[in-house]
Amino acid sequence: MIHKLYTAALGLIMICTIVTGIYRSSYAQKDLLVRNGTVITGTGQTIEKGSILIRSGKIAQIGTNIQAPAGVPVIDATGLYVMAGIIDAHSHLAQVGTNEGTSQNSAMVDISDVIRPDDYGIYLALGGGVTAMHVLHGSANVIGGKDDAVKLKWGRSKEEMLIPDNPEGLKFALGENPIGGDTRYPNSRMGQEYVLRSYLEQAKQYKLEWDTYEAKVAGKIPPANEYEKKYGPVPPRKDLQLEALKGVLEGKVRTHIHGYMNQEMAMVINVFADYGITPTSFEHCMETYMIADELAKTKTVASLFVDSWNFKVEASRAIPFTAALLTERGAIANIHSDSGERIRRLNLDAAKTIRYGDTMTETDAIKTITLNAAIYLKLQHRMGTIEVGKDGDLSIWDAHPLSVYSKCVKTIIDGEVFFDRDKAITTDKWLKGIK
Amino acid sequence: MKKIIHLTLAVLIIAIGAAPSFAQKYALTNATIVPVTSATITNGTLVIEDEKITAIGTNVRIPSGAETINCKGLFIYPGMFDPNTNLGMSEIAGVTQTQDQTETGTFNTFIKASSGVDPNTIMKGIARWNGITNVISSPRAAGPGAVFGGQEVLLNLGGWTLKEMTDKDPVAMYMTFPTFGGGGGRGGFGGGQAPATQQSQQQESPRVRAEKTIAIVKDLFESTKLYIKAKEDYTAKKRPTPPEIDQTLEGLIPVVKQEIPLTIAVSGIDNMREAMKFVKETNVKAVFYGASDAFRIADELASANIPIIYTETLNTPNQTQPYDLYYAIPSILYNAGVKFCFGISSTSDIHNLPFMAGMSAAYGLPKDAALKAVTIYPAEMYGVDKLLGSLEVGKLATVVVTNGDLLEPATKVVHEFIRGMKVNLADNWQYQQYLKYRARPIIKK
Amino acid sequence: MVFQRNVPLSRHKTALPFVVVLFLIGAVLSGTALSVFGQDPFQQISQTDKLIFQYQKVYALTGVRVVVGNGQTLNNITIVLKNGLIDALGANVPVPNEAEVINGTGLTVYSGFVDAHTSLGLGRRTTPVAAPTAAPAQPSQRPTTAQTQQQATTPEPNTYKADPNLRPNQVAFDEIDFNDTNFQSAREAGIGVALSINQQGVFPGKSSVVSTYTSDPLFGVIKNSSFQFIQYSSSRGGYPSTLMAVVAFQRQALMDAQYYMNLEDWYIAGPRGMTRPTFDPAIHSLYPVIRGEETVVIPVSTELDIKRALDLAKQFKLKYILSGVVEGYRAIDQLKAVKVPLIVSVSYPQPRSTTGYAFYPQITPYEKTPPPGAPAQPQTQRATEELDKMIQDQLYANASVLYKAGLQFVISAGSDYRNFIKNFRSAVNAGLPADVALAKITTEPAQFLGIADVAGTVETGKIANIVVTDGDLFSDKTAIKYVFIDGKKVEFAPPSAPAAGQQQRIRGDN
Repeated sequence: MIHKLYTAALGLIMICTIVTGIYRSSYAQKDLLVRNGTVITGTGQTIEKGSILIRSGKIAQIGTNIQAPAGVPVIDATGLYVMAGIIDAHSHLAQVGTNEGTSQNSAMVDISDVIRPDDYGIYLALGGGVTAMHVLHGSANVIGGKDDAVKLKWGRSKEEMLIPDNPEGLKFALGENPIGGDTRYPNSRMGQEYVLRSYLEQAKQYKLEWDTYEAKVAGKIPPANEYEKKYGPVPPRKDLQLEALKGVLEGKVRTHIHGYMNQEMAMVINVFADYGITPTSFEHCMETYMIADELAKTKTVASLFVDSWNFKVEASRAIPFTAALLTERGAIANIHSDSGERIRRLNLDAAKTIRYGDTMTETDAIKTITLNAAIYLKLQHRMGTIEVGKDGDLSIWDAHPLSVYSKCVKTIIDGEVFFDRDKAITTDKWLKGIK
Repeated sequence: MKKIIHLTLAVLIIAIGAAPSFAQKYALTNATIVPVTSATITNGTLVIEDEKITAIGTNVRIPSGAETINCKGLFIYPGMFDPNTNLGMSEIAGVTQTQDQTETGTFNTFIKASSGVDPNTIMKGIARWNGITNVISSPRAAGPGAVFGGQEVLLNLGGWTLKEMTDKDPVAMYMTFPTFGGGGGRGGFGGGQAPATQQSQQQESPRVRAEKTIAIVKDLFESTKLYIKAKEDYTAKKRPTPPEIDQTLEGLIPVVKQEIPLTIAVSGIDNMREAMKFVKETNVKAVFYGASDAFRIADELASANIPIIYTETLNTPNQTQPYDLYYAIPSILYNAGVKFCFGISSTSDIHNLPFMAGMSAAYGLPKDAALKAVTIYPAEMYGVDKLLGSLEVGKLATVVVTNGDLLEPATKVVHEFIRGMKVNLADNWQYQQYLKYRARPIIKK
Repeated sequence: MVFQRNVPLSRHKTALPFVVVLFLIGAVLSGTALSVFGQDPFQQISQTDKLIFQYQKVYALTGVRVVVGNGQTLNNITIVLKNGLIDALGANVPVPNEAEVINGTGLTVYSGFVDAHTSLGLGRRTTPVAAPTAAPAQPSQRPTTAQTQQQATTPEPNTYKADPNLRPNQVAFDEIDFNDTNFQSAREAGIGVALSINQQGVFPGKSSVVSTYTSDPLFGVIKNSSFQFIQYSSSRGGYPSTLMAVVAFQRQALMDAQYYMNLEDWYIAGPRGMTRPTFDPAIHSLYPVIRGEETVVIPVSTELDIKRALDLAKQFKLKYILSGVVEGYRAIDQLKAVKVPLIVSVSYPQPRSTTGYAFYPQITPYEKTPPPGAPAQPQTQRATEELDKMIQDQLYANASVLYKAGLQFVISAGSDYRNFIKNFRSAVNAGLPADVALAKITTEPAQFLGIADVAGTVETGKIANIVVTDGDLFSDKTAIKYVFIDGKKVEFAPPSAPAAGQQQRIRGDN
């Protein structure tokens, strides 16, 4: 009897440990206090000798003199600058395969299925203060595929990197890239509009079929005939490709449209308007400065290279003043990298928006790589600034982050340090033979 | 009568005073002056007369007729200098018809970059808006096997025509050093293969082919020396006729005479060592371009007195390298005593030049060295430091006036002078587009 | 003469008349064949001739040690192979007169190996069953205007007809080329029975279990139709071309199977007023999979692959087996949670291609460059050498880890036959108990494939598949001396034989 009780108790303890372990390891959220730094909240407020307390991965308190509760590790940020973690809204890191270019509409594919957590580019991005990134399909076809957003938790599993409650997004592409070099249809921007319309029309039809079916099942619409009355309505076939577009029509799926030239982006705004939707973002969008007001009206985020240009014909009218112009006209400008190299210096790209134009403030510049990227992802309720209740995603710098003389010294995600320059192998340590 | 004369004189004086002319005088006052080669001066004045800087200091006499520009809160720096670009020879990278930087041929010593530079390229206005006042436009050696690309030209970005833009032509000769094969270096550009000889192209190892190429080059140098002698003899009337013109040798005359350096594209330790040997044996001046892995043989480069144009800041390290390697290499070179500067070859990215320097300063390079590496160092490397690279009395008045640290991305250039002429900064196609669309009427709905 | 089953051939005074008659029959047959196919008569006759001779050869091995496979080890045994079966086995078994006798002193006999997942004989076949009517345009083709217009309006991937990636109704046997030289590699590794399925294609169809030693397909089948497969590799050309598209393709196909299965059921229950549902034979053959009645095998390699497969199986409530699982040790918790049978490959991947390799520090230590003229030092990769060794050991220990976790699995060569025995030994040296390991390449895969009655052990009446070694199979010093499959002796290629792809060996030679 005693033996049985003993075994049962042991079993119980084992179960508890296992359960706790599983709970702990999936989506780790930690406690941390960052003390006495210059805190740039990203909302326009800068706090000298500021502290941020993170509890269970969320910002719990911001102030000037916070004491660490028992057991909470402390980072001394004296002389350092703290800002929200940088979010890169356009990246092709951490994915196995970028383009399913075999048809003009591959909306059924989903980048989430092929995220890989062990891409070294993630570590390099952490070294530049980036805490989250949007991983996208490429630009080989008019309708590409679904995307995902991850936090750069280097060393962890894919499940731990995925951002919870991240809405789905769908990638579109226009212009030179989807036309490509071959003669496959569509071969012009005219054809691209037609393809876009024809698929949205199909999706509209598909949605109608499903709405009708669901309404009949719910009794809101009478059966079409006696047989439907007797046997019930026959559901339509679920088609993953059209499901994605149905979500777009319903406003549940974000749309990210790769476009360079003003006419193709204006086209998308008009075509989408016919279906009662607005584009979530344009990618690269070099010529959005020509249609700044239109973007302001649809609240479409312009996700840009700050100063890349002239590498192909459709980029030949790009100007680095776009971010300033858009911001002045009330549109939202976000700076992205689309590159494993550029992602490491997004802080400098943001600083450039001050040079290129007369209206960008420091806060505006910082927003281009933090809050505006969160707005782009529709995750601004949890990311993008240092505010109580938001995720504990921070980057710490040894000079003002918009200065070329600064380096990122720590990168923190959900209250846990994922990059620490003190612990990394830097060149000077390497030369001294430290492994 | 006297009244009429006085009136006429007054009108004439006013007319002359009002007419725009290159020979203007400026006094930039109340500025923080950063000469680069000497200590920073606060609340200083810099005087420009004709093409030159005629005074710098806190207590200088402003000449009469000089236009005074109050630079309170602003900074004065020498203009930045990118020593190897394709400015004027390249517009859209993806369109081959706009790429004019290479000519077919192996020993193109007679090909001149200045023949291909478009003085009205829109890149000019954009580069100088970003504080870059001087560039060297350089041809490239075409394809594997090519050795000499051609003569590089030093340009200022203030001139309206090629003649006005040319500061020194040639300023250097571009060369790709042949690869000697084998390991010892990471990839990179530069290092073409030796040209094929008639027979054994397939059987020769890269090393043998490279050695043959170098032998040809050395032979060309020797021939050039004799060619020079023949020309001198003719001038001194020691021979009745001049030597037959040889364009290849003509091109090499300033190289052999050590008047201009060879810009040698090299990559990897073996390649660099062979190139150093070559430079020593032929007794030419040289600058290494690209020079990947230079930091691994920094002391050898320092002893050989060969400077480097560093282009790798924006490379992505792989997992076998420290994550900040390419930002930190300039500090390694600096500490070893290697003279270097920064270079960006593509003019559509040229505005990143100061940031390459600034990032290196974040990762170990002293700030003043970073600044020098985009101003005086490249001028010294190309033997034009008497003209540019720093703010010194007697040097050309090529200065930029900024609202902050020259190397910072948030800094704007407020005024700019090139060879004493005030630059119209608004003459930047991109900036014009900005103004145009800023002026779009806002339609209230 | 009438051949009765219980009259052993060896009791005849001479086999010669029998042999002559068979030769004549063969000649007649080949003559018929010649007239039909117009082939070289001599080649035709001699092949059948040799086959007949091979098939009929009787072997006896004397004085061998036999590892039966049921836990028993017998010493000093005679074993007789006849008619493709283990005819007799024992200490005092008489050796038939017609048998070729092999002195087996010092040799050990193991049961021939059973490989539960190969693609033997299925090269790089991707030809669809029927010519496509509205094929998605390949980039190299120039589509007509009509085609392109149609493409624009119809969603391209939804053409199931003759889609090379959707052939669950296909049976591998129909396409197996029994003359493929890979069979010889498998034979030399001791593998006598193999389950074979095309490596390419998302739904390549049902696998077949075949003998690895036959040139005539009619003699090769052990089980015509075995497990269904769902794979992460696509057939060449067109959609799907990337991994994410393959996943979407799998999902859509299984969703469609559910949907059309329901439609059929509804139509049967109440056809009036309902549009007749379409019938696609490919989708139709997925119904048992959707209903959980048919087990599917999902090949996976890496940790990420395993997780993907588990998600798919969960979504569609599949009854399934995972095959490959070379990174099983990295997903041990997930595998324990589902407890499905596994086929574990011992074809180990390169360490640097394993999941999470990048997480380890790999910075090459800085070394001062030796001065010019000094002998060139080879660049040491100390950091990754140790790391690679550590990962390599983890890979070798994969089977052991799975075993200790209590998971059910068999072992496969993973299509690397040349290194199979070496790889297998690495698994044993890394901790998988030897007797357990042996069972996982003999008795357990036989049970797994449903052929335990005729394969997996050295017992009379079972297929004459044996591997004869000169020592303990698990020792590095031991070599395979003989392999018999279906009672036929395998001729080993000489060590310096040319690369696979050249038909060098003629069976029956020597």
